[in-house]
Amino acid sequence: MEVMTRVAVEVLDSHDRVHTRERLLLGDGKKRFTLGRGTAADVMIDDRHSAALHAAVELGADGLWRITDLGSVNGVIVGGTRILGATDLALPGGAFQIGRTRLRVRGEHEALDPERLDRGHAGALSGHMPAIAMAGAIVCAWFVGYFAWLVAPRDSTTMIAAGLVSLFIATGIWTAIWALLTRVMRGEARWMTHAAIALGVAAALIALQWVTALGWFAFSLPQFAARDVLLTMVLAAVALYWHISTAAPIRRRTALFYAIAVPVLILGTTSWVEARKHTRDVNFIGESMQLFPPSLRLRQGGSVEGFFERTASLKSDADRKRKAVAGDDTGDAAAGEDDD
Amino acid sequence: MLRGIELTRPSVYPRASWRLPAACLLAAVALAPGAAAGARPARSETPAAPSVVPAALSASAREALARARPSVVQIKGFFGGNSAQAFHGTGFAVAPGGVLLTNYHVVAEQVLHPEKFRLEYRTTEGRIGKITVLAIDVRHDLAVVRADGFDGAPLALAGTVPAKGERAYAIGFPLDVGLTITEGVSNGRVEDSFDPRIHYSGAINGGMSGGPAVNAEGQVIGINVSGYRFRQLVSFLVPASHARALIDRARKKPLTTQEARGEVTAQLHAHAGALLGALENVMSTQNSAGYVLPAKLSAFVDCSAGGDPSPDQPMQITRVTCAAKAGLYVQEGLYTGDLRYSHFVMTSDKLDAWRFAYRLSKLSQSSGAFGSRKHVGPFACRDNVVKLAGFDAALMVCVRGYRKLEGLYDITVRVTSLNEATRGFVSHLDLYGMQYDAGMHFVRRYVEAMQWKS
Repeated sequence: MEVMTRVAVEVLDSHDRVHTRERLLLGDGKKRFTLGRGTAADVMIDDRHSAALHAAVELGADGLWRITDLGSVNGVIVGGTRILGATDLALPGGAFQIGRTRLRVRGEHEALDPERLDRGHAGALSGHMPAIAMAGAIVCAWFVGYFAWLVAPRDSTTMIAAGLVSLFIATGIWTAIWALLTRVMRGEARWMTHAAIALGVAAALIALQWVTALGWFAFSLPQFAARDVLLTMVLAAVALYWHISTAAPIRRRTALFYAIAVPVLILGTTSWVEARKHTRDVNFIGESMQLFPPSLRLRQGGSVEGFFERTASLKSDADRKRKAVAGDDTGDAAAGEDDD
Repeated sequence: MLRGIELTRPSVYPRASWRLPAACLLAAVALAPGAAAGARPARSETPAAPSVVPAALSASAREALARARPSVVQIKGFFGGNSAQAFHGTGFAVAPGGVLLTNYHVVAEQVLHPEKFRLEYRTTEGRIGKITVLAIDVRHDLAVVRADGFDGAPLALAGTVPAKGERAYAIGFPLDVGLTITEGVSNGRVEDSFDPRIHYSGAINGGMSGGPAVNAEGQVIGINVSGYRFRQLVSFLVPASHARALIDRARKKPLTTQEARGEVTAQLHAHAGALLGALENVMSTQNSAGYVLPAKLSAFVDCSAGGDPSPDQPMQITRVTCAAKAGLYVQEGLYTGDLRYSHFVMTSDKLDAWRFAYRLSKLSQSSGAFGSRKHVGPFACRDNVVKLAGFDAALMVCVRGYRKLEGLYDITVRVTSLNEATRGFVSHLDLYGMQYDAGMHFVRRYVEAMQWKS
């Protein structure tokens, strides 16, 4: 009975993904094969930095692959170190390099990772990407039309056209960047998923901001300066998490970290700078409420009495702000005399 | 009415004040050749010999000038050790021993920043000496100073305000061209003004500030203080009666910076109290498109109303703007102690409720406060929807404190109606340099005066 040994020799690219693979069947209980540029080698390598018969790889009794240099000039590279004249050198993970070619040898008894769940296409939404993208596009376009109508009778046609073109270009560029990244990381672009994320989240953001503004008006709530920034931050994190996990085979926790850290850093910093600018601008009085038709109001106004009771602390607030600005106003402090 | 008014003390840098619409003023300063000449008199000009009285003037003007000449000096301010002047005005003797009267705004910079500015006088003969400030009256824009080594004969103050049509003469050093007299007519006390002023129909230009305006008998009827820019001969004098009290209370020793600051603050407090006190028992209103809104609250409050008459606009806007014109000059770039308010009443039969609401919110977002970080802190605000008489409105009240005028605040109020679909108003109220409690009391009265009458 002939004992055959199945061996796969893989040529890897710079991302450690398999570029080409060759199968060998070693007959007669043989556990050894040779590599080189010449036809005498069992596995031929098209690499000018390799000898005609460069090295031999053998499966030891312990199940480990070992390499022996057959007198090459460049030797072999194992674990990042070039070794000349190697004999029976163990190959951890089966990986090594001959010349400029990265190789990996796999036997039939190797332990494989369990099959990984595909999160990129997982979930109930995976089949509905075109629908989501379309719905997002329609909602965005609707709001473009709504805002153009709101400021009418200005030239609505120009405004709608300009709005739609910029929406199209912005979504296109954003989607293209993610698709390119996905192509590099995963080998497929996933255009539709990224377009769906971009359009879907943009639509959700515009709609949510509008609905909260409407709610604020309906319930007569006092202005809350960070409202829109917080909303944007949350939705940016959602979009980013979705984009990242689509684009790269990355762990859930890592994706979540980036998805939260990036919006918080960028939006947090810019709004902090903006808020700080406002606290130092002596003529800034804050945003007024966004108004909607009075028939949408659901809560009556409070009493004037109550309002002026709540203004009791305004004086001390103003004094505190005045002192805070005076305190860090070094230019004035240098002038000296005034802050006595 | 106060649009374009300007104090008659030119300085080498153009002043922008919040009493004036900023854009308009800046444009005016930049474009007007007169303003440029006022700020920097051309060197090539032949200096007018101060002793030559133009023959065109009447004999009485010649007499008035001859009488006043020994008593009048030019007052110059210098920044640091510079020998070139920073600003200049006029002063005249009112008591023996070199006691002069001038405008507060001529000496304000030096009084508040004595380590940065110094004052000098220069007589018509060219004698020069030091000036120290003895007393100030911010409210009436007057100051009593002592000119070391000057002993001009005091000019007599007239006991009464001259009637309309009486001849009057203003004396001073306009635009640094030498001692000058202008002939004009007194138009009596300015009607409907919170600041007591005499309306003098004659030329008063920058540099004449603090100079005497005399009657045919040579008595001082008032002190040159301000005039309108780019208008014709509408000028103002501080009535001489206000000088008497200040001269009496002026002490022999100079005012320290600490005392001067205290005085300025105390006088601004008194002014603010007087202004709001004058409005305490009145809240006259006017109905505009169903909204009853505060109107001309007092005779001295100046109101104007207007709008676009063309019917094809999507909305009709009536704009009512009122100002107390009570602001006082405190120092360069700081006027305070004023009150102004405006309403924008909008109606539309072309727009739907959504688009109308959008326009109303745009209108309510416009800012109205002007102030410099040098003088005020940032605003602290409260906003909410409140129930006013017959309608709900969004109300925002913002307060900021003055950095060096303890206890004085600017209060800015926005009221936006929220009751009608295609009808509404935005009202702005701005109080400058008020005491907090009195200011808030006024704000509340202002807001509570508003009504909806369908």
